[in-house]
Amino acid sequence: MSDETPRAGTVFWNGILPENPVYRSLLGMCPTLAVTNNLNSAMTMAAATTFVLVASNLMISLIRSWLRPHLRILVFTLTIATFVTIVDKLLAAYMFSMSQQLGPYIPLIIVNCLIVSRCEACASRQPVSTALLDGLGMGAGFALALASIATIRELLGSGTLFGLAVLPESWPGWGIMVLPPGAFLTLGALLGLTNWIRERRTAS
Amino acid sequence: MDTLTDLFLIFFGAAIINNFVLHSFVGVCPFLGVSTRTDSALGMGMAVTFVMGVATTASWALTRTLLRPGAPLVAWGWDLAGFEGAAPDLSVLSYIIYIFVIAGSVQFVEMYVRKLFPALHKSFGIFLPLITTNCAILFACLLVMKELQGPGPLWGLHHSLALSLGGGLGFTLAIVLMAGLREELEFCDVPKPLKGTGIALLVAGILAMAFMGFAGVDQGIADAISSAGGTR
Amino acid sequence: MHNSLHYVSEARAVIFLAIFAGVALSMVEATLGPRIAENVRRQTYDRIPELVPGASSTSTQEISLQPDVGSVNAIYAACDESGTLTGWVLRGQEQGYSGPIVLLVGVDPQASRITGLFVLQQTETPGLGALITRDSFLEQFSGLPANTPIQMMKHATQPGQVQAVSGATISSVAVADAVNRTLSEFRNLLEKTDSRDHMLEQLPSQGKDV
Repeated sequence: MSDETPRAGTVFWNGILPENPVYRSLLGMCPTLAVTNNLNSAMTMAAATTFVLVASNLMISLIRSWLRPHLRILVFTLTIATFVTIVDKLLAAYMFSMSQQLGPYIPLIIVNCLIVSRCEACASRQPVSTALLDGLGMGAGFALALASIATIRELLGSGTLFGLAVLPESWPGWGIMVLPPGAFLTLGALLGLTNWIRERRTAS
Repeated sequence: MDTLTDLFLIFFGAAIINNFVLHSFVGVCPFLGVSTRTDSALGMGMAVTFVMGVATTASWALTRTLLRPGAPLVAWGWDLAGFEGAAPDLSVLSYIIYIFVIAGSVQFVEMYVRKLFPALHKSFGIFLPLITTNCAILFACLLVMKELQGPGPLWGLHHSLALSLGGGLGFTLAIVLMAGLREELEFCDVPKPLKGTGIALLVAGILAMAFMGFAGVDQGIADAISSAGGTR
Repeated sequence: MHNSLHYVSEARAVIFLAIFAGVALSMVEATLGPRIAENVRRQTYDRIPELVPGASSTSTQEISLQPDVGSVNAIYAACDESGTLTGWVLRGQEQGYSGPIVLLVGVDPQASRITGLFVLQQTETPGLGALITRDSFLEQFSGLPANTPIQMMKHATQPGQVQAVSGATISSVAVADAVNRTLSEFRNLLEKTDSRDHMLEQLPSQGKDV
C-alpha cells in the first residue's frame, strides 16, 4: 500500500466493493456464518464490528508514531480487546436478549482477522481521517456481505425479514437454511456467484 | 457415575454434536485454508488441540481464582489490603486476559514441543504461530468462562479439559475429513467460479448436514452409561 | 539507567493502552455493570407473576440452597405484596437435542400442583425443537399434579399426559424430564424437616403456612 494519502471517496468505497472483506479477502468468516440466520442478529453484529473497527482504527492511527515493529501485534490486540469488551457490555446493558442470542460471537470479534488486518494495512500508516474512512468503508462492506447472506437465509428459512413475515403462511420454510449447513451452502453459492460476476465483467 | 456422564457429555458434545467448525463456526479460516492435504490437516488439528488444552487450562485457572464475581484471590487480596466493602468483580478484564493467555500458550507450546518432541514439531510446528488468531481457542475459553461466571455448579479442571480435548479432536476430525474430500475434488471438474473456497464451502455444508445426524446420540449413550453404572 | 528508560519509551504505546484500558473498562463496569445485573435478574423475576398467579416480582426472593441438590439450580419463594407465600418457582435444567434447556417451574406452596412453566434458555432447532417455547405447548403443564411424573406423548389422550411438539420428540421429552426431576427433588427437600426449615427461615416473617 503506498504511503501517500488516497482520496477520501476511494478509501471509503474500497471497503464496500473492490476489497469487500468477506467476498474478496475471505476475512471474518466465523461471524459471517454464525449470526446470519436472521437479519436482526446479522445487522447487530455488523454494527458492533464496525464500532470496534472504527474505534481501533482511530486509536491506532492516533498512536501510530509510537508503534514499534516487535510490539505491533500486542498493541493491536490490546486495543481491539478493550473496544470489544466495551461493545459487549453495551449490548448486554441495552439490548439484553440480542446479546444473549449473539452469545460468544461478540467477543470473537477480537480474533476477527478483518480488524487486525485493517489496523496493520491502514491505520498504522495513515492519518486519522483516512483511518476513519477506511474503518467505515470496511464496516459497510462487511455489513453488506452479512446482509446478503442473512436475507437469503432468513427469507428462505423462515419466510421473514427482520422478524416480520414477508412470505405467505404456505411457505414451508427451508429449515436447513437456518441451521449450520445452510450457512456454508449459502456462502459458498454466493461466493461462486460473485466470482462469476467478476469474471464476466473483466472478460467484457 | 454422574461426573463420568457429565464429562462424557461435554467431550462428545464438543467433538461431535456441537462440532466447533461444523456447528459453532469457529476455526473456519484454518479449516478452509489448511484442509487441502490430509497430512497438513492432521498437523493443524494436533497443533490446535495442544494449544487449546494449554490455553483453556490457564484461562480456567485464572477465571476461577480471579476473574469471576466472588473470586477467592480477589477477595483475599482485598481483605489483606484492608479495604472496606465487597471485593470488585474483575470479570470485565476477561477478554483481554484470555487473548494474552492464548498468545502465551502458543509460545509455550511451541517452545516445549520444539525441545521435547522434535519429531512432533516437524509435523505441526509451522502451524503454531497461525493459531493465535484462531477463533476456536478463544471460543473454548469463552465456553469455560460461561460455566464459571454464570449460575449453576462451577466447572472443575476435568470439565474444562474434557471440553478442550473434545473441541480440539472434533476440529481435527472435521479438518482431516475435509482434506480427504478436497484431495478427491482436485480430480473433479469444478466450475470455475466455485474453484477453491466456493466448492470447499459447499462441501463443508454437506459435511455439516452429516454431523447433524449425531444429535441425540450423546444423550442415548449417557443414559446407557448411567443405567449401567447406577443412579441418575 | 539509560537502558531501562529506553525500554519504557519503546513501550510507550503499550503502557498508554494499558492505562486507557484500565480507565475505560472500570468506567464501563461502574456505569453498565448494575444495568446488566438488573437485566439478568429481570430475566427470571419478570416471569414470577405468570408462573405463580398472585405473586409479585418485588416481594419474591431467592432461597439459598444447601449444597448438592442435583438438578434444582435455584429456588425462589414467590410471595404476594403482603409477603404471604403464594408459591415456589424452581429453576431446573436438562440436556435437550442440541444443548441444555433451562426452565422455570411454578408450583403452589405445598408443591402439589404446577402453576406455570417457562423456558429460560434453549438452543434447540429453530422451527422444530425451539417450538417448546410456545405458549400452546407450555400451557399444558399448568394445573398438572406435581407429585406424579408427567408423561410426554405423541398423542396425549389421558389427563396427566402432555402432547409433544410434533417433530421435536427429544426436546419435548427433555422438558418433561427436567420438570419431573426438578419437582421430585424439590418435594424431597420440602418433606425433610431440616431442609424445609432451612428454606422457610429465609422467608419474610408472615404467612409461612406450608
